[in-house]
Amino acid sequence: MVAIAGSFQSELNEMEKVMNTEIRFKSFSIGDLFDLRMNNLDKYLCPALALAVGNMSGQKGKKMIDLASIIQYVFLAHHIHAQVTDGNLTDPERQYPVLVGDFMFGQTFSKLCKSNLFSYSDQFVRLIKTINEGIVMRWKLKNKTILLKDYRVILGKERASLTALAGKVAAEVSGLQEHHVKKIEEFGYYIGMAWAAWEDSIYTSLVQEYLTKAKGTIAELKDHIYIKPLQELYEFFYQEINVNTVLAGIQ
Amino acid sequence: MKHQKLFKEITSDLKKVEKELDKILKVGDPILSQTCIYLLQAGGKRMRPGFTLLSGKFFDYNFEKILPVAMALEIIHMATLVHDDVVDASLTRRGRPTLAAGWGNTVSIATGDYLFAKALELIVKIDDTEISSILANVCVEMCQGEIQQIKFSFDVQQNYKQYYYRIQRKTALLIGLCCKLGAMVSNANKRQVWVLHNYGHCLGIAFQIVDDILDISADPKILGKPVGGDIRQGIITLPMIYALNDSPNSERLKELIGKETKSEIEIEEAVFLIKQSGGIEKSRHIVDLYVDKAIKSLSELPDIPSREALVELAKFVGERSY
Repeated sequence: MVAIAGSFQSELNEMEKVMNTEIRFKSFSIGDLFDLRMNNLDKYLCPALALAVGNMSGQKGKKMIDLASIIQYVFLAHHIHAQVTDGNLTDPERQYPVLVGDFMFGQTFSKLCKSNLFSYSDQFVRLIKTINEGIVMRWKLKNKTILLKDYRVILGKERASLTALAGKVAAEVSGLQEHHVKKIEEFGYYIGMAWAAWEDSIYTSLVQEYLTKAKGTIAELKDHIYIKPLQELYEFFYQEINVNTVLAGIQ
Repeated sequence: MKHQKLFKEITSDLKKVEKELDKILKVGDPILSQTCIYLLQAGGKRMRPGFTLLSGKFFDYNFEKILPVAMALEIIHMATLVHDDVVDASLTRRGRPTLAAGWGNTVSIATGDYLFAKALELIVKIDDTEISSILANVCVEMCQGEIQQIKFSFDVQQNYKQYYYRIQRKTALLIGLCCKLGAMVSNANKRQVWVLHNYGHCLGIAFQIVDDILDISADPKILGKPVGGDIRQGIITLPMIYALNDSPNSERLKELIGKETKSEIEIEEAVFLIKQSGGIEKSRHIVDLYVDKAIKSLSELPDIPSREALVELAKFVGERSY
């Protein structure tokens, strides 16, 4: 269990515990089926974003934990499906990720229904469509030089759409004012863009660009709402990408 | 085709379903639009929307209300097929190249996920948490069944219970769901919903066992693929379980089925031993029991043309050769 920061660690731990009980296939777990490659950002960033936003307005507890796990299910579904590439794969490398990814989609929708968050379903449906449009757009441009403008669209669809929605829905569930919801959605989008750009390392300058934007959004919110959890999330993200040293000296 | 005649009562509504599917699957992204329409044009029996519409006919049938459910169920079926083709590395389906063969795994997976989202979009619009929740749970269980199938492939120690667990999830849940949701959106009471769900569930089990029988005994020309596919992939089916338990040559059969790489001659030998063991006949008997059970459960419902159609469909499922 990674230590992100103080304020929403316990909810993150609780969410992980709940998901571990939900993701089981009779007598075996994912680890028994295939090698699921995940770094700390993959494991925690999406749910931490939702939980951080909830903490900004004192919204803790089951509903936020449920929302955090729903967001993580969407992430996991695509993360796992991304392992099914066009290259030569062995049967287990191909078969389990397809089915476990589908299972994660089922869990997403099942949890939306069970957790009193059903009214947000349409936003999640749109999100899944958007992410897959991004995946197909990247596929179309494979083996070609991707222009920066197209690359931004791809990252936006594939990843930033998810983090933006995580921030937005968490802010809405927390009852924040509309203009704050908008700002938090923006923050989520910037963090998602920086995250995806860091992962790809094609246009590394984008990481700095979007981190600066994310920081700017925190600064804009500073005088209006309690922003410590968002700062903690930013610090966690920054530390994690810095571990890789690719981006030393960004701040 | 015979099954189309069985749907004669709902032919015009099924045509509308087809038309709406064509409309809804022409989506903004040109590649996704192309792949979705390619899948739709591959055809299929459209049995799932057929079951939904026929189930609704017993009650307050409102086509506009039942249409999104029927479409969503067919789209989910399409999504599972396209992902199954990646799982099985299949190059052809219904005599045409699969999406995986033409576009590769990445696009196939994205298309399946996109289709899943389209189906959910239709269901969410109905704005009924119970219906959405039932559908979501079935999707989760279907995946669990498929995972179980692969996890235990080539495992010749499998028993009947494990087999039924798998086929319930693989096939019966979705057919049961088609009937159940058709009844639910048409305001059937709880008992009536249960009756139709039970009918679909029993029929789904029969349908899968027939599939498993055909994989060993069908005419490959009619089936559209070579026999012995399950043996090749190590999927342990009911005729195999019977043969593994009852055949005097069960040790040889265990050896053949349990081998992860087999020659065509070994597959032919396994097919021969399964046929010789009487596993096909015993499996047929189970099919008959489930078809009978499905038909009997309908006796509680009013004697309208839809009931006759469902009875005939059950018989068709039991007797089909493709």
